[in-house]
Amino acid sequence: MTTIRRFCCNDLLRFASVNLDHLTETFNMSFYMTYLARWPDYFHVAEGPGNRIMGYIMGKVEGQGESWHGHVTAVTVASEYRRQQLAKKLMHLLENISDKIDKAYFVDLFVRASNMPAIKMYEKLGYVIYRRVLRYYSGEEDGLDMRKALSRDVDKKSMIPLKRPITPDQLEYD
Amino acid sequence: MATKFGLAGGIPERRVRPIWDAVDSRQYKAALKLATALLAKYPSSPYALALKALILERMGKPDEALSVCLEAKEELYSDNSLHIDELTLSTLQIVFQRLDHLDLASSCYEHAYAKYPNNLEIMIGLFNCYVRECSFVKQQQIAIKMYKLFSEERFLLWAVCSIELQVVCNSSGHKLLQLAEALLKKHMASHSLHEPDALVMYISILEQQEKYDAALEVLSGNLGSLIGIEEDKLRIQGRLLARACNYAAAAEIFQRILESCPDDWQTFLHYLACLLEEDVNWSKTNSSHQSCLPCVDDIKACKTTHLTDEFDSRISNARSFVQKLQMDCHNDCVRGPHLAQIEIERRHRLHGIAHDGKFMESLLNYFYRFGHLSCFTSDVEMFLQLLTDDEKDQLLDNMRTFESTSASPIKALGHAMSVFKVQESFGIMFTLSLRELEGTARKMLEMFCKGLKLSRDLDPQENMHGEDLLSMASNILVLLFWRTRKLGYLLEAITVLEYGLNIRRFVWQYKILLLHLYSYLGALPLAYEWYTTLDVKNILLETVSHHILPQMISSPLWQETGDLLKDYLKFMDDHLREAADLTCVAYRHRNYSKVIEFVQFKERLENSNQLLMARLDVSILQLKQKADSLQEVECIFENLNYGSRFLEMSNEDKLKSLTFNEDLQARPWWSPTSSVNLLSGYFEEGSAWLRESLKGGDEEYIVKKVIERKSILPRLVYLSIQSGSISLKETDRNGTLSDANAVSELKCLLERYARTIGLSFDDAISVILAISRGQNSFKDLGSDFISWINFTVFVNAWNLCCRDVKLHNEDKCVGDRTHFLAYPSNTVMHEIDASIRKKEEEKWFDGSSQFPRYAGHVWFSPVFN
Repeated sequence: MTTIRRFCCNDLLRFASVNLDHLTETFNMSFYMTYLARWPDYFHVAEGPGNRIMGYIMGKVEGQGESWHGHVTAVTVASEYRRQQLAKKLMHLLENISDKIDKAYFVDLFVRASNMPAIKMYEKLGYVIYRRVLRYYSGEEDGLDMRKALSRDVDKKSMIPLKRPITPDQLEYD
Repeated sequence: MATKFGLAGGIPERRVRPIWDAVDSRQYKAALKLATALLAKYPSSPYALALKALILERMGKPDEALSVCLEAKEELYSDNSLHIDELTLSTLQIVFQRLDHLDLASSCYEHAYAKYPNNLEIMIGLFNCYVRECSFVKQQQIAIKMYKLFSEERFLLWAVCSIELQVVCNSSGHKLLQLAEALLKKHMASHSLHEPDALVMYISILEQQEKYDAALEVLSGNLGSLIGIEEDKLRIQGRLLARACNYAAAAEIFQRILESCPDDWQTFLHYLACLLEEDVNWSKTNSSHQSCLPCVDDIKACKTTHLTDEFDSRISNARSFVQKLQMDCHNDCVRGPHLAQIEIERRHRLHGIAHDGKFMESLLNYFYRFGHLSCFTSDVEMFLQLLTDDEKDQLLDNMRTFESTSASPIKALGHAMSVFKVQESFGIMFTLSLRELEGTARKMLEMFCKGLKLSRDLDPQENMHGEDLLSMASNILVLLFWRTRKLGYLLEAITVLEYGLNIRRFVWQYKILLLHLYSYLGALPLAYEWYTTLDVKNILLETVSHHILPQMISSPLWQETGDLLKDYLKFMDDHLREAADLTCVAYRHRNYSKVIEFVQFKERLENSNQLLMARLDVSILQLKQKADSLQEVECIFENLNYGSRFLEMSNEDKLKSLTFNEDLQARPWWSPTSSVNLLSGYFEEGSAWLRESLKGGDEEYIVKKVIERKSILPRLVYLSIQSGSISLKETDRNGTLSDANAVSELKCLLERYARTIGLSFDDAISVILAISRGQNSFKDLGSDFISWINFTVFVNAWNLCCRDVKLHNEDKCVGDRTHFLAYPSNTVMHEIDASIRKKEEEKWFDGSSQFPRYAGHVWFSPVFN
């Protein structure tokens, strides 16, 4: 019983049980609100009975030409609702919107190189490690740029892994 | 920012770029140097001045920045031949905004607009200024002008949003909605609509006027394709049909959504409500700001259905539909259709149908299927309370039997935890004997330890299986303490949680329980330490800091409390200052429904009770910290407009519109609130439920009273200090008039103060008199103890002052309560002193944490708590 709907400001006041998790970052307000103001279709929340927040996904769509793509900025699920494939459901939603509505070529995301559970999950969902970004997280930990091609990228060119790692300043987008 | 300069005010880019670069890299000193040099070359250039002001503001020199800004503004106005460009205006705007002078920014743009009435950039800038000022009418006017000049859809929608905001925020009449509708209709006739959110706005405007059929027509026409996700379109359609009382069609639509999204719980509730033709308050389910408010209230949804004969057949329709959904769905994670079955049986039961066992059966089925999930209990919580006592026993028996048959140890652990949680939810823990309680806690711990090996292969960052067991065990230990007053249980509760955190140091649920336990024991530094490990920041400050703030505010940890308050206020102030910029972004990106949402959200945060409380507390804290120096105290008072500012901040309208944004879900049931401290009283069966009921309106009412009292305090202190000095100045007869004013104001405030305790002034005085005569004691006054002491202290001040003024001035109206003077105020003060000492001694045990342990200033401390 999961109602997935667009995230709204009031949810910011109700997502503490999700965000107190140590791996979930609580961004500043303008970050959330910019996403809401610019890409409301990419920001969804899952609600359980009693209107409890189960988790949410936030993302955006950006890029030029063949790098027009959906991006997952954050996906998180409250501990109470884990191991129910909710993250998978949320990811599918974002992929679907990138694919069907915005006709993007691929979806990408960044993950800490040490976050094995997450990396495994993304791999199960069809993502591959496209490249390594050196010292991406606060200049310390490496990040992995993972990608999954969408239907528009027929040959799946977007997800052919790069041989060499890059540095954060070589990234095309923030 | 550095990208958008050009030839501003006739200054070439190469001269400006280094300045922006320096600003962007926070090299303000270097930037200022460059800006000064630039000004030497272009002494009256408004742009050069604006740049300098911007740098000064960033350097933390607001006064200088403002005066330079004003100078720039002056230049803009004075030289009519001067070309005004957007870059200059927007730079000035940034500075004015940061200096909280939105009006000055608007007037610069207004001036430019008057000069160049067809310049789109300037018009957009002006529109944004009005957005920041929340001047909805002016927004509307300028948007209409832009629409007329450029006939773009977005400008029309800007106007429509501005109209909608007037309706939503200022409750302006429906005439405006008609206007919005007419504007949109006319535009659509010639241009159609091209943005999804434009359509959503149009439907919302129609819906608010109850023109459901018209809205449905638009949605099913060509424009409907603007809504990209089919289910979203169907949801709107279903809602409109339901509002038009076309229940059969609405139910059909919702059924279609469920076929593709069988897990969508809200839609299922809508489906059922329509099928049973129930009277749902759809207006609450919202229109343009769709999906924002929780839609149908789960619990209260099943209000009235007028169906009689057909009810049974509709229920069986629902049953077979849901069964079909269950069959079609092979995914083990889709709980919706199974929970739906319970909901159907609940409606059936509530309709007065004799208990046929189906409700229980559906609950059990749900347990068999999903009982191992940690969300099982919260999923079914709303159903559990409907069971009779016998049924509760029966349910638990069945659950236990099943539990022992679970094949996988992880599932068995999950099932066992669900049994405990259901017991907790039934309130069974409150009925168990001490021995049984101890046994249960022990069992939980053993289970946890035994289950540790199940988590062996998990990543250390992942949640373990059985984590909730320790939280539950510690709550039982707290209950044992409550019932026996044996402190050892509390220490054991702490040990259990510390142990859990040793194994997994990230479990925030443990940390929250632990910080409440430490607070309760008066070990506030430890509580604070655990709180800081939660890394509460940004919006969580608004929703989570209630776990620690109240205790800190009444503690002697002034430094840490000050930091907490300052962090929180900085977050709120920064956000409120920039919130409207984000509304501008929403306008720009044509997400009109977000515009409305943002404005309402800002209002909600502005009215936060915690925000108002923190503003009061931070000043009160300053007064406490400086209490040793009258001079510094006076300085603080000067900034507070001698306490009057707070009186304005907490007037009746403000109190009425206060919002409560705290997330109370994670708070343990036993943690003290502003009105109830369960553990300090004796255990009575079921009193925990009493507290549950207090969570709602009563608690809010009490918080409002607390705020009101706090807002009066600084002024009371100020007037008392004044009156104190009056009595010293016996020879000075010049001040008599203002003394009299002070006295009468003091009296007024005391009357108000008494009202916040729930008594008239006279009755309150009688209570204190009884105390001073020894017929009564402060400790009999319960949780309002502090307020009473405060009241007494200030009555005393007023009393002194009256007597003094009376000496100078025989005017009777001032000293109209002379009989009170007959009682030596010393008696009352003595009583206060004794009570505080006594309370201090008790505190360690009752944990009410209302008193600073080492309060140096007995007089000041209760006043400020």
